[in-house]
Amino acid sequence: MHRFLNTVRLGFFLAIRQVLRTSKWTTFLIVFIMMLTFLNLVATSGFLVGIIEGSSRAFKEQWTGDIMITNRNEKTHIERTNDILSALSSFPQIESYTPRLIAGATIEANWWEKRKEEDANTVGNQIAGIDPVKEDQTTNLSKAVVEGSWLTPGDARGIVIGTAFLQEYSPVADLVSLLRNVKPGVTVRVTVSGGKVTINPGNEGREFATEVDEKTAVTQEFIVRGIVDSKAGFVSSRAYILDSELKKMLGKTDGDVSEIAIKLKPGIDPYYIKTPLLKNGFGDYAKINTADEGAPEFLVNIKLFFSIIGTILGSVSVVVALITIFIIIYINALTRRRQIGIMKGIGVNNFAIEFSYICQAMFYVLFGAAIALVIIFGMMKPYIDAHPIDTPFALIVLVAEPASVAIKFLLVMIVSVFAGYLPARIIVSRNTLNAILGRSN
Amino acid sequence: MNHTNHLIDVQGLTKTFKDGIDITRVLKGIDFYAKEGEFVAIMGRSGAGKSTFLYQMSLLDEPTSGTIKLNGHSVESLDNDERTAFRLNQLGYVFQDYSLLPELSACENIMVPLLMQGISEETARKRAMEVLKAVGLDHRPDNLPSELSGGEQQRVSVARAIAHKPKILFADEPTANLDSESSKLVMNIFQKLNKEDKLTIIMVTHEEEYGRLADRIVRLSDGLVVK
Repeated sequence: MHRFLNTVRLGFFLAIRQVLRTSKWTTFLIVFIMMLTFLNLVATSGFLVGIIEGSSRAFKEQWTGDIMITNRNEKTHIERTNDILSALSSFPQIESYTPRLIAGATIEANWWEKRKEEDANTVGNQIAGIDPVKEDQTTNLSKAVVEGSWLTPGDARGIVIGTAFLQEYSPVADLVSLLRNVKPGVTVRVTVSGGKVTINPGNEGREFATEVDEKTAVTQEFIVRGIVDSKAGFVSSRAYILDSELKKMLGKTDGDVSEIAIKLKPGIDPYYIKTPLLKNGFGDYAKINTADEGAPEFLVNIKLFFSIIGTILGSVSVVVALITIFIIIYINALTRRRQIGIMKGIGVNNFAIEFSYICQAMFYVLFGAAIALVIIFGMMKPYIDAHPIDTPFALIVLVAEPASVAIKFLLVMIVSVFAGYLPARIIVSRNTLNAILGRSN
Repeated sequence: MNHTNHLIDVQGLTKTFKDGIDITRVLKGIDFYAKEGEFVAIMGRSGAGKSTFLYQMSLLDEPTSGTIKLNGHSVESLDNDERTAFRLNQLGYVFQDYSLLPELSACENIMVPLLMQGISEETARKRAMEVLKAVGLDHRPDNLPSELSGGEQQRVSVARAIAHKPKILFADEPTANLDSESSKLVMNIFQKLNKEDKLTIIMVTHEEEYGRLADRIVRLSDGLVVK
């Protein structure tokens, strides 16, 4: 044991001096490469997972809130909505909530110019009746308005339309029939099935019929106030009017709604609200899900897929890190081959020399990773969180959870031990005299 | 011959190098001895096998055949780790080109074998300063080898070789790269170590002037001891 400790101590003694007294540029270059390697390891998978995290975040922030209450599959509305709403009012942990009444609707523009059927400027989708103040407090949809303005209380003739209705915003405009030439200020005609709401809970209550029952159809004109665009597809696929107007069109007299999105105060666990709601029996009248539970199935599947891809790429990055460190230490040891021979000649044992290279590899990785961590958590993550990368399908963020980064850091440190030891071992095991005399083996 | 009082005893030592189908016999059966406290100079023309002989005898290389006894130990059967430990504890080396570690200061170069022996850093530093003083370099302990002249580097090399108090000091052409003044300084140190500390020194040299300073000269020619 004492001999082992001597060996380790000497290895450390040699490593410190070799690192500190070698060329500053060489040290800088190696640390820089290690920094890039660790950045690659964290950022590649971080951005991949961030694509889906961005989508999830958009769904949560602009659609579901922290908790989403929806109608049960066999029902068209959330029963006992008023009881549920008054229960929500009693929770101080809730920052805001927004009830929505959803119906299938067709929206038609420029109908006065229609001469034949092909001229029809109509699209079918969902319409949401909302309280614009509560909706904005909960989902900040006013910030998602890309043209015009958000609805104001009492604006009975106003409508805000999602970009999914509009040809000009659609990437597949040539393939589907969408509204043309609709801008803020234009009048559109909205038709819903009056008297009978055609809400179809469908799969998990998140899909709604967009067809109108012609026998009970009610049509009303609205003026487009604004156009809303969101990375959460459901948000852009709806039109928004005042809840009072939609109720009138549907002939509804009760207070039942189709969904309630709840936003909690920061740091509040959603189960703190969900559990008492279920205990009070509201689960019999509605489905109560947290944002994660209520995430669309495709999003969950894609998240899993990207997570697997991220793990594969992460593993490749670890192998790249291993090879990079191996090459650096191999070259480092090779250029010091004669000195290694001298050390062996004067009685320094092999492991002390090998340990000095392990220490060097760990030093380079430690400093490279430390700089990378400062860049990730001090610069990249705060900046990208504040300014997510805008892509057509999501606002991409950088996902770098401290726990997973710590595991990657630990992994790279373990890898550095092997990557430092192996090349040193190769060089150290060569003939001592040949190394001293600079002869090839 | 009675070999019991010999510190070094070499019998029938041969060394053959193979390069493809070419076989070169450098040492052809050398018998050699050195008594404790003796200063022996090994001399001969270039290519006579002087350095090769020194490397075999000092455990830096393995002979093709023959036996070597150092301080009573038969060393042929030692494995690599045992040879390294033997070199650390019993032998000291001075090479022709100084062979200092460039990233370590003069003092740190001397400390390396001491630390390997398990001596504390503080004691090792103290001992390194003592031997630096003995070679007249105690004023430059923190200088890197690149900041020292050739003669100074060789004196540091000598200091490193004797710091751990070896039984035998092997020196391979220690003055070959030095000017005459530095050479004399190094030879004075060798003589002092031999006379005052009774250190056994085996020195390879091709310079008659310095060879004559030894107690005995062994001459090699064509891989054999001729005198």
